[in-house]
Amino acid sequence: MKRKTLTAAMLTTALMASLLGGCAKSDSTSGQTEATQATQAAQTAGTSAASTTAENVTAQEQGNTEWSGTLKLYGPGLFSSVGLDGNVDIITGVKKPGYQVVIDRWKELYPNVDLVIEPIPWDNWKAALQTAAISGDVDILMHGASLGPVVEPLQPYLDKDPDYESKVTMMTLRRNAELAPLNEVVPFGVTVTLNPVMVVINKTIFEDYGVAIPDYKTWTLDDMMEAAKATTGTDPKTGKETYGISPIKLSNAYKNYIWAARAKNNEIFEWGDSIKNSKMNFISDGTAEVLNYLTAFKDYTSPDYVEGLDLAAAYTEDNPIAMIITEDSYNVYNTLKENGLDDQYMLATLPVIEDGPYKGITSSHFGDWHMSICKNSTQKDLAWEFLKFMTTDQVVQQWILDTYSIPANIEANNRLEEYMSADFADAMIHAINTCPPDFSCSENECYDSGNFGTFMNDLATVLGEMYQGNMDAQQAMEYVQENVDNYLSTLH
Amino acid sequence: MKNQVLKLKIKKQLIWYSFLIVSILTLLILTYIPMLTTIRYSFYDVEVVGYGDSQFVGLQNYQTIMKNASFLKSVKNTFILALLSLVSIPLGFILASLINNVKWKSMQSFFRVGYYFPNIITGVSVVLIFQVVLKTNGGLLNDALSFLTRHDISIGWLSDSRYSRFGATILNVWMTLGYNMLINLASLQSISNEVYEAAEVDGANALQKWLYITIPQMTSCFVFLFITSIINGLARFTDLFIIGGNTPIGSPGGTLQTILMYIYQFSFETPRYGIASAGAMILFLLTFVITMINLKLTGFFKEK
Repeated sequence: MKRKTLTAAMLTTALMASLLGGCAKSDSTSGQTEATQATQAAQTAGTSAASTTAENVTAQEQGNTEWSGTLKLYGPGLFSSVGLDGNVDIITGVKKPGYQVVIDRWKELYPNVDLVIEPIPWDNWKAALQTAAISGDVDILMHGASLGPVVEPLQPYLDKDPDYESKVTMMTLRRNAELAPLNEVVPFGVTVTLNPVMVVINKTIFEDYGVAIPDYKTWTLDDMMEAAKATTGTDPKTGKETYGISPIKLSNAYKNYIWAARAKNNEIFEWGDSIKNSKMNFISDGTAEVLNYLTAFKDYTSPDYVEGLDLAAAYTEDNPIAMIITEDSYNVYNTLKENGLDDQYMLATLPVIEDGPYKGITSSHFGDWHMSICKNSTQKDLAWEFLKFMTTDQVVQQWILDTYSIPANIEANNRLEEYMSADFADAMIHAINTCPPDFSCSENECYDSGNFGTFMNDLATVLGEMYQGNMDAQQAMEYVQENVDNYLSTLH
Repeated sequence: MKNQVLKLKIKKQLIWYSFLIVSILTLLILTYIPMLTTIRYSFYDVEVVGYGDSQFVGLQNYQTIMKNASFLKSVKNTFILALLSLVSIPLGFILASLINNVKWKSMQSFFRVGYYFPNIITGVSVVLIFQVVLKTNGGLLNDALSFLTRHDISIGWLSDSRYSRFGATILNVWMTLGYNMLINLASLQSISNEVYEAAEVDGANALQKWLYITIPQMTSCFVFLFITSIINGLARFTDLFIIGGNTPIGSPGGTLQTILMYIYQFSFETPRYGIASAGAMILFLLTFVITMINLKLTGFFKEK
C-alpha cells in the first residue's frame, strides 16, 4: 500500500511539474535558446564574415567590459530564417551563414554580456511577441514596433547618439500623440534589413510584344497600366497566353493600396490631438481613383491571381507574367540566378509619386526587419548598445549581406552592386537612395495600419470584393469608413 | 479510541484528496483563473495586457461589440457555417448504412479506414489541397461540374464571397465525414438483429426497416453528433484562417470570419484586449446556452 501511495505521489508530482513547466521562463524552455548561449568556436561556413571577424581580432582586446549581464532577444525575422548555424535555401540553393557569427562578434566586443536569442517563425508572431512582452523577461523584441504600447520610444537614445541616424537608411517610425503631433512619426525601432517593394520585369515578354522596357526612374501609374495592357494576350513569338501583371496577392491587397495611394498622394487624415479626435476621410474622389486603378489590373492578371496561385511558374522558363510586384526581391534574384534566367529579367521601382511633398520619387516602400527595446526591460541602455551594434558594426553588416539580405546601414547597402548585376542592384539602390528618412510605410498621410482598428484588413476585404465584381468603389469606401468611424467611437 | 479511528480515516482520506488537489490546482491555475481574468478584462478598456492604463468601463465593451457590424457579421457567419457543417451528419449516416451492408468484413474495414483517413490529415494540408480542387480556373470541382452540365462553370468556391461559405463547407464535410461515418457505423452495429428479424416476420421491407427501426434507434447518436458539430462549428478557426491567407479577416469579403477570428483580430492584430475579452465572453455564453438547449431537448436532465 505504501509503495503504491509513493508511486502515485511521484507520478502526480511529475505530472504537476510537467504541466506547470509551460509556465516556466522562456530561457529554460527552448533548446535553441540554450544553444545560443554556448560560446562555440566560430563556424566555418565559408563566408566572408568569418574572415572579417579574424581581421577584427584586435577588437577583442578593446572589448567593452563596462557592460555586463544577459541580454534577451525574442521575435521573428532573419535570425529565425538562417538559424544558429546557417542553412541552405531549398529553392535557390544558396548558403546562408547562421547568427552564431553575430553572437561571436558581440562576445568579442562585449565579453561580459551574454546573448540569449530566441527566434520564432512568422506564424502568429504578433501573438507570440505580446506573450513574451507580458512575461517581462525580454529586453529586445525583434519586429516589435508593431506593438506600440509594448516598446520604448527611441528618441532619447538618438539624442544621446546624434550621429546614428546618418548611418542608416531609415528607422522604424510610428505615431504617438504623447511624443509628437500626430502628423509626425517618431522612432520606435531600428531597421536592420530592408525589403523594397519592387517590380520584376520579364524582359523577354516585353521584347516579344515590342513594348519598350520602362524607365523606372520616371514611369507613372498610367505607364504601368499601359505596359500591363500591352503585354497581356497571346505572345506574338511563342503563341502562349501571357498576363501583364501580378500585383501583391489579393489576401494582402492592402499592400498594393499603400503604394498606389502614395503614388496618387491620396491624403485621407485630419489629425487632432489624439487618435480619438482625429478623422479619416476615406470617402473621396482620390480614394475611388486609387481603388479603381488597382481593380483595373483585373483585366491583365492571370485568372489564378485571385486564389494566389498565379506565381506557380514564376521565375522559370514558362513564366507567363510580364511584371510581378514583389516584396522579396533579393530572393527573386537568387531564384532567377539559380535558374540561369537573370539575364532575361530586371528589377524596377514602382511608379513615381504624382503629387505632394514626395512628388517625383518612386512609390516603392520598404518592408523591414527591425528591433525594438521592450518597455519592461531593466537594461534599456544595454539593449540600445545592441541595436546600434546590429546596424553599424561592420562584421554584422557583412553577415547580413552574406545572408542575401539588404542591410539598412547605408555604407553596406550601397555595396549591393558587388552581389548582383546592375539590372537588379541599380533599381534597389535607387529605391534606397530616394527613400525619405521620415517616411513610414505603415503610418503615413495616405495609410495607417496601427491606429485605425481594422483599416488594414478592411482594405484587403474591399479590394478583394471589388476584384470579384461584388462591390464598387463607393460601396467599398462606405464599408471601410463605417468600420473606421465605429472603431474611433470606441476609443477613450 | 473513537478519535484514533477518526484520525486514521482522515489520514487515509487526506492521501487521496491530496491527489485530487493536483488536478484542482491545475484546473484553477491554467483554466479558471485565466477565465476569470478574461471576465475582468471584458469590463476594462485594455489595449495590450500588462501595458498602459486600464480603465474600468463597465459594460461599454459589450455595448460596443453588440453594435459593431463586423462582430454581428461574424456571429452570423459562425452560425451559418456551423449549420451548414451539419450536412456531414446525414451524409455520414448514409455512408455508414452503405458500409454496414457490405457483406465482406475485410471490405468493410477497407471503406471504414478509407473514409476515416481525411480525419488524420492536418487542416493546413487539407486547405492547401482544396485550394487547388476548388479554384476558379481549372479546379477539379468546376471541371467536373462543367463536364456534367455541358456548360463552362468557373465558380470561385473559396475566393468569391457569394460561394465561399459553400466552398468552406465542402472542405469541412470532407474533413469530418469519416468521423461522422464511424460514429454512425458503431451505433448502427449496436442495434440488435432481433428487432430486424421481428420486423421481417411482420412483413417489413428494407426501406420500412430503415425508416422505422434504424433511424429511431439512431436518435441518441444523431443528438451526440449534432451537439459536438455545433460546438466545433462555434469554435471553427484554423481552416478559415488559412483560407483567408493566414489572416483573421475571413476572406473573401469577410464571409468566413467567425467569432473566434474576430476575437483573434482584436487580441493580436489590432490589440484591444477589452473588446476581445467581451467577444470571448459572448462566445462562451452562446456555447453555454446552445449546449443547455441541446441537453434539455435531448432529455439529459430527466431523472431516470
